[in-house]
Amino acid sequence: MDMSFTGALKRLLTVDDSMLDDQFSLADDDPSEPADTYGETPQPETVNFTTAENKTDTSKKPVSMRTFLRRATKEYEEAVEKAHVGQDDEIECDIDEMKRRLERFFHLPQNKDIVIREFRVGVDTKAPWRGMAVFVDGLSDKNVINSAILEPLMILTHVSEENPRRTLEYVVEKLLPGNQSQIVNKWSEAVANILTGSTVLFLDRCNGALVIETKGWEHRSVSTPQTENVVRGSQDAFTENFRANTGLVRARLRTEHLVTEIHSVGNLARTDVAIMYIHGVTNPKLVREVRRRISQIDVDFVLDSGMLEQFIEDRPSMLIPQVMATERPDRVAASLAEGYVALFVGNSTYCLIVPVVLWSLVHSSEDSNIRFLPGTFMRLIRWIALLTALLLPGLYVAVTNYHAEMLPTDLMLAIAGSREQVPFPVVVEVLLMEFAIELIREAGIRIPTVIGPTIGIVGALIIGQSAVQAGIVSPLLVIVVATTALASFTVPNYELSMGIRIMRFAFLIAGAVLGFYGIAILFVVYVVRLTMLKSFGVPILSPIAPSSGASRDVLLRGPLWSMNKRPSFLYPLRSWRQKPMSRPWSAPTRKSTGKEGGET
Amino acid sequence: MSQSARRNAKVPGSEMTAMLIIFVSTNAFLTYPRYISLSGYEAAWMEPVFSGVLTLILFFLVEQLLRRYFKNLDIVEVSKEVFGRFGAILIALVFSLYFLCSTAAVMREFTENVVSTVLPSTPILIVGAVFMFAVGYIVYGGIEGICRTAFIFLPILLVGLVAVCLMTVNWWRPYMLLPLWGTGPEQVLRGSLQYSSIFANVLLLTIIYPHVHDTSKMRRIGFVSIVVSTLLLVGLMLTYHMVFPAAETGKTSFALYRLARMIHLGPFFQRLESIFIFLWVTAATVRMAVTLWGCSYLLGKAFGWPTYRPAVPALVLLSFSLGMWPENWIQVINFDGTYLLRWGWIVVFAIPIAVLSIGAMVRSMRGGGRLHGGQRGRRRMQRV
Repeated sequence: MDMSFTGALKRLLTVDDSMLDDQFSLADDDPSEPADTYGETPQPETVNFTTAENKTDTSKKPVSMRTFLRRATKEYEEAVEKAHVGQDDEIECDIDEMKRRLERFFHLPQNKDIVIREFRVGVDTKAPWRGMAVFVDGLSDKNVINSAILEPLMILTHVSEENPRRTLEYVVEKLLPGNQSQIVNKWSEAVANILTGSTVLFLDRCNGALVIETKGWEHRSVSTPQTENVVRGSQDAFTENFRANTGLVRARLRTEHLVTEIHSVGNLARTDVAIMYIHGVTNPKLVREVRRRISQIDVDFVLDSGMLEQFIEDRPSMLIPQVMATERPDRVAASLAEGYVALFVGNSTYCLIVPVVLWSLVHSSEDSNIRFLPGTFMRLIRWIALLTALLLPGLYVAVTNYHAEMLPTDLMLAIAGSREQVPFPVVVEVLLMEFAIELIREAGIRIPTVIGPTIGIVGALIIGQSAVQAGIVSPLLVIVVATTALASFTVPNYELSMGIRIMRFAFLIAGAVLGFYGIAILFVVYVVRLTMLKSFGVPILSPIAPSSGASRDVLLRGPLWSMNKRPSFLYPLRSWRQKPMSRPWSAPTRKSTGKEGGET
Repeated sequence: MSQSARRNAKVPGSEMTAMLIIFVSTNAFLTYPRYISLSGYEAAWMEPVFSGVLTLILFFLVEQLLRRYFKNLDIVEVSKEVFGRFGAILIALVFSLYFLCSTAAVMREFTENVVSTVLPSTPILIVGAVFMFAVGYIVYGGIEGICRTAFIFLPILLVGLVAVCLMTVNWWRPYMLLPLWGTGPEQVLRGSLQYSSIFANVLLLTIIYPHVHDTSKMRRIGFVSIVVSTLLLVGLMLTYHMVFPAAETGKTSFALYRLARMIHLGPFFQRLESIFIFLWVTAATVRMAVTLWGCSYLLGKAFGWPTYRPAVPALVLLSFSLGMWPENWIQVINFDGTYLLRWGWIVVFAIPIAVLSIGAMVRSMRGGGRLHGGQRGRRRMQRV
């Protein structure tokens, strides 16, 4: 009691500004403080990253853009080089030196993910043959390591002193039963393979390393698509496993001409990127261009296909995507057969298809599985929905503000009556409701699953009932906004749908400011912009503008048996995908082609 | 796109055809119906026919000259051959001035139409500025972008014009087309010649010829574009004169709007003139983009600029200022009728044919060398 009283008195009479002191500040870098004080064991070799060129340049002196770019490029390249010091060297013969290198590359012993399992090859070997297996805990399958690497080498092997062949080739041929193994000679290859989940075996007096395929991290199994559901069609989607994804496509497209090239992107951490195409169908120029763009990406890390997409797109600032992202293996397989190129990125659940034309963003993989009349009907619905999602709020504002005369008198009176109690101008009313819809849409994605149904109740109550009863919005506007929201969900491509969501506001403002005139001008400008846009050298409005004699699978869905050619805008090496008479058994077909009574 | 790819950019025939159709048909929204109605009365619909036939003949003539003597050359390059650099500059300036005035007149007429019909409270400066911005933006896309846009919007124009004609069917009075020859054959023929400048196909041919993807299809492009646009204009004029008496048609400067206002297909489909704004805007934007592109392209060619694009903002501003210069709409209509429409045929037909004919004669006299555009080392290709 006495102490607390004294303390209170002291606080009253003295000034204590320690509360203003930070517990920790990243900015106040004390150069005297060591970079890494973890544990007692010093780092085997520390690469100094705090050199002058890597510090943030705080000088205010303006420099030209050319100088800035040159300096930044130099700094980045130097930093990248430092991060990989020694990795270009050949692997040594001495196993102790190998271990020291590994400890330096992987920052051991602080880094607990890397496992170095040291052992001796063979049972009862008089001259010991030391070895070590290196792998990443959590990425590699331990059962495979135990049964296919350690057990054969440690327990089942008898190395006689007379046998001089202590080489990696001998181990591969005679000792290890692993189904995929490869000898590498450079540290960079060994490090890269360890990081992809393989186990790398180092043996004393062997100037190389043996990479054994042991990938086996935990991942989700193949499940149903999240954003591209169909009724008629396969129900599997890509998962977070790179090779499983390529396998899903290959399982459908069983041709020896399907080629999968694997590249890696990223200087700090490498991400696998697979380029898949059909040799003999896909235009080699297209493949070369894809390869060129990917190889020239110079970044530290690419996590997902969504990031890669932005690095390889022609105009990433546009709202219309120039790369198609899909989670459906059947769609990828169908596109590859047409002459497109598919890109798989690391553990991404989306595959990228290039090039893309605007029309195909409104197609669904279901379209080709149903007959052409229902398919055409569905596509028409989608096109109407797309225009509705884009223009309806703007048109509503334009009609009510500027062109009320075009409405029949009864309808005009009904609209005026419903807006009688509303205190806002119609554009504010629409913006409020659109904002509410966007909130619901965004919340619907972020909200925890267990309380998911709440969003529907809250949304329905706020928008459907309360806002109208409170006189904030008119009932007709609720219909307009709800129809717009429904229409935007109908657009099959997520990126296109997002673009339309944003463009809708531009059309809304144009309609509010200049009525139909503003909407028309904006529409023309955007169409012009689209006519100039290309995706991997293909105009995005192909094959309509520029017009080319493609199949009828563009705006509508043509009969499957009459779509004989591949899209001409892809310039495929094989333009015919089926015979002109693809139903020769059919009497009407034979009659129409004048072959009645011919060969049977 | 790489520069080399852009240099070699060529416009396919279908897109070129669409651009030419829109270019000519846009006159249906402007003062052309008024002037030919004044000139021909009930026979006004015949004037586009005669003008179209005349244009078709001249088009084939010019195409033949270009194909035979000046393959892959445009009018400025031919002028350089014939009259030297200064002569070419002079001719390019005449064409550019015509295009600039045409852009300015159309801009003013169009914005006046918009302001008087659908946006009566909006300042004309805002309406015009927005319009010119859109036009400038399209011109930046080059002839390829313009023609591609035209190709996309052509179906809208066709459907819209046919719809306007057909939806007024309940007001048609075919007897109002009589007497058949209206003001008389002589007056009709004179009007056809005077107002034939709306068919600027011949002049455009001499400019865009090097940019056509396949010049062997140029005849087909010309034939289709002239026939289709003639049919559209004839259809519109027939409808216009079946709905309104001839004496009245010469007093209105926005025929299509008047027709659209008359649409009344039951209580729901009525007063649809606002919907047709999309039609007017798209067509007028393409047309003005063509004239402005022609203006900037010719200037660039004449003065040897590597690209015409930096001139586009200046020309947009200039045509906007010129368009806003007259105090009122009547002055613009009078200017358009007195100078551009009535004497435009000199620029659109006479000068190009004269230049090409003289050029052909010079070539023949020099030894009949049919010089190919690609063989001329000093010719500088602009980015289009």
